[in-house]
Amino acid sequence: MTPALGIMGLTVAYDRHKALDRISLEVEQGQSFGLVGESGSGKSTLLKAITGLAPVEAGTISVDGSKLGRSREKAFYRKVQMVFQDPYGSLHPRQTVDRLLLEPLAVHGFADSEARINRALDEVGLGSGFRFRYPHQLSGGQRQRVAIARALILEPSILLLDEPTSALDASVQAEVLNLLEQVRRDRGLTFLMVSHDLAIITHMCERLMVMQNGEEVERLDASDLAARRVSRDYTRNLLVASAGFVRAP
Amino acid sequence: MKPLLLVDDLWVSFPTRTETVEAVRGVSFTLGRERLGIVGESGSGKSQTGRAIMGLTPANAHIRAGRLQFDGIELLGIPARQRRRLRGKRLSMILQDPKYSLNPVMSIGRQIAETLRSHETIGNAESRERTLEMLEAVQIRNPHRVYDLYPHEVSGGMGQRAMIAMMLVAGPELLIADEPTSALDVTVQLDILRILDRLVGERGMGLIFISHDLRLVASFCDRVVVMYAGKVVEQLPAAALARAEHPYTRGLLDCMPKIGEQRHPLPVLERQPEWAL
Repeated sequence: MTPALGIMGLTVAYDRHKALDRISLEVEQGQSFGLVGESGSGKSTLLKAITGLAPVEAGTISVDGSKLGRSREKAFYRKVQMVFQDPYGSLHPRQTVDRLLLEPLAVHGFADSEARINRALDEVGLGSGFRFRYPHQLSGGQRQRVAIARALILEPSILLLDEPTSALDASVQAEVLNLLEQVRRDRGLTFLMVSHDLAIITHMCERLMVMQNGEEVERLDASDLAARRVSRDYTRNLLVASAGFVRAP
Repeated sequence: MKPLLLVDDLWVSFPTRTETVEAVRGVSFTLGRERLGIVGESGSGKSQTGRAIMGLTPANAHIRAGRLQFDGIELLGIPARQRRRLRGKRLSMILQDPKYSLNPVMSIGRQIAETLRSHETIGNAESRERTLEMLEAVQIRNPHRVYDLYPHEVSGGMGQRAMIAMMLVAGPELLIADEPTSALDVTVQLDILRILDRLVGERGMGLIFISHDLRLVASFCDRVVVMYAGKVVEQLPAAALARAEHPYTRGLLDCMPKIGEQRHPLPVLERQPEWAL
């Protein structure tokens, strides 16, 4: 079976600095794949490279078996959409929710925009009452729901998630994670999710890659990580660190 | 024994054009030479509580309290001049993000030395000497080099060490740390907490650790105060967190994904209006 997303030997370089160094991975249709690492590990750069926002130096990216070229076509963005980390920065402050959701529909020439906007808002649990609000009138969690609705409104098959809950409070984080799981189940979506939080990745993904300095450290099944069957010290350190502070005796 | 800090019925409110926003509503607690965690979500009033103790509340806000005493001094009753002398010398505060809280156009060493010189009559050579000692105490390997660096030239973890050095150099008795590690990677976070833990222990300071991360706070502090909507909903020893009684505290603990646990969907916090009453 052709994977939904295939990456082979991907290298991204900013001048001489290699932000990504020969990364390969495959994500099957309907799977959820996690990327874990600290800042500077290249996990977000990988998502940027897929969307065509990073200078790819070597390697290939293919979606549903077809290789992507240097630039992305319109059809690509119908298939692949992204949700960003900061719900405060990723929505236009002077556009209403309605305008925000209309834009992708207009770009891609959808006719029944009214019905789609209402459906998208219902799906993320906001309801059409939110249509004519501005981002500043929404809480962080509501904004992230709008961002998810905007990504889903084109009915993509792959969702790229860049730390979608790290700017949210813990209780709101749980709601957004539940929502993401539900839309993935309902629509059979493929997820590629970036997070610095091992607990979130093991919760959301079946497989994951640990990254450091733009390179792969190791690739694991989420169940292995949960059972702490890891082979590299770096991953072990991350596991220890995520358990919280331990006072030296 | 007299507590180091006594907060009794503290209120902080912000008048706006249409209404008055009560950010802190009747918070009370005492602090000895111990580590106290204040936990809550955004908007719970945890940071405004810390700022009110430091005297850094914005000028348009109203503060009142039954008592707000530091070492027996009634903080709200003393003139601003006396308050300034306390701040930085006997009370100090570590902020969340070193990128925004350090002066970008002054070298790290000079910023730390400035703190010393504004509180003590001290010569150039001695202030430099003590700054270098302090940089070493926060485990900066090459203090002479870092002394002359500017904040943009160092990593987040290094910047936060520099901030801790700056806040501790005058030897405060009470340290307030407002989300000191939230902007940092998990492994760096632990380094910073270890440094903080050691210095607080060695110097016998009182520490107020403000954070949204209940589990982190519980692993670091002796006691935890949980805030919701400007009020303290629960106070308990950190070791007893698993036996927390308030549904908000329990809900906060419960809704985080944990490694090695399969709960789909995650339990969601059902906020009850009476929690905010």
